[in-house]
Amino acid sequence: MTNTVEENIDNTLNQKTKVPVIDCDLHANPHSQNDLLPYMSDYWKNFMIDCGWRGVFQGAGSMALLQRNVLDSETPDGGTGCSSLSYFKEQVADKYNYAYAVINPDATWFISASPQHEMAAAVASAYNDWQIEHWLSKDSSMLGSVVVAVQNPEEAAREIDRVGSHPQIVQVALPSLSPYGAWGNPRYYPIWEAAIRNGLIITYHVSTRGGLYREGFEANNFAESQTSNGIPLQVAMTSLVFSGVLEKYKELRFLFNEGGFGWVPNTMYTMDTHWPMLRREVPWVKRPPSEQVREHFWFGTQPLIEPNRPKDAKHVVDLAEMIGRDKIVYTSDYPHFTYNPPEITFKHFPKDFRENILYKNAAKLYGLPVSMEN
Amino acid sequence: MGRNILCNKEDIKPGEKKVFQVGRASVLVVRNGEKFYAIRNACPHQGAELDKGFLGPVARSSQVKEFCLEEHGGHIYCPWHRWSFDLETGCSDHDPANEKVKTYDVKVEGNDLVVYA
Repeated sequence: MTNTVEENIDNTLNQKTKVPVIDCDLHANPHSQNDLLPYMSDYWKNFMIDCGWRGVFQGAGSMALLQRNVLDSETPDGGTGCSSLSYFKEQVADKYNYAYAVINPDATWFISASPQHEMAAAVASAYNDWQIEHWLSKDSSMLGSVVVAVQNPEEAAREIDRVGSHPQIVQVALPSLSPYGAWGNPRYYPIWEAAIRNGLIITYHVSTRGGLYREGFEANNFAESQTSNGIPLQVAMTSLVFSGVLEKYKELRFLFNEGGFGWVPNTMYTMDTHWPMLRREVPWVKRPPSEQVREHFWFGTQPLIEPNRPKDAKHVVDLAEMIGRDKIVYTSDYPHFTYNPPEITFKHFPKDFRENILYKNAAKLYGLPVSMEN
Repeated sequence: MGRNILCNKEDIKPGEKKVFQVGRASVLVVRNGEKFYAIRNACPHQGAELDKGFLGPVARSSQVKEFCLEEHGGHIYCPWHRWSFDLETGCSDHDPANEKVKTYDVKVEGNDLVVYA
């Protein structure tokens, strides 16, 4: 934030907060992509070795990145950021009084961009088994995502059924950009039905660009790309509302991650504007769009808007208030370089709102028990 | 303002950085060639420890689509969000008038490296 007071920093960081923290966007990843091989069939294991797979699909992530992770997230043995549970606990979770962290592996946003459907599905399954063995089974405070390759929604639904009943799996993780058709398209119904069957929420995370993803606009550098991350989420929201997904599947709950929340009031009220005028196109939409948004959607904080003029920070709180004090959850994005630590990031929010963000809203969304003694 | 002897000046080699506790302040000392710099070891953005970042140049541009790297080793980059600061002035490279990190006078006196804080 541009309005931080330097004198407060040392004290803030050294003071172990008493407020529990639920981090709804932690990017734990394998130490090396080879760690995923034991969870693949011999066929795909052999394929991945022979193609020299390095963790991304060719054509799925075309942007050269100057920075990926916060530098102090690397493990002592040189592993990539957040590839060690014990190191993550020491560096982050214990320091900030984490009650829970929800893992969202990087695969979430590139795997569905691959035109090689069967391979993508094999990699998605491997990520799920790796998560369960290396993180969930070792610590009950770690919660997981079902990673799916959505190119084939029926196959994705089978994967959700395969691992979705694990007690620490809490969500299905999807990319903000879809490979085929808008998110409101009926082709994705099997995914919604599988999520409901398994009592899971749907979390959208911003995507890489390229491959099968066609965002419809061009970003010439990562600065543009990062700043426009919220746009595919706006498109996803309007598609889910006007296509009637939320009328057909009233149990669905969505969390939008890494696209911020400042755009939400504009989008939901603009939908309210157009709904009465254009409802002959979408007569199945019975509830006002803003009501649907408030019932079905939650929003991660990251990247928190940081106005260059300090006096504008209060408007960020106003935007969050417009969406609702019960709708915003803390997302760190750790270990990515856009990481937001808890507490100091939200120091300009009122105390009760801050506590809602840091743990209460997520506890309610995921149905998690939390005590102040964490 | 107190005089604080930190170490022998040769304890920090060119291109190295080292953290010292001076009173209540954590001070980062950087050596670039024969020049020493001392700045507060906390990013004014969200408090990351700057010593975990890296030394580098500043990217400048006098016109659109021009790229220029200058002052190699003269800037410290935050390990978290890569905010960068001029070691000489403490000014951030993106908003030098408003975003700064505190700097300290640092001198070589005999063989001693001394900071005034």
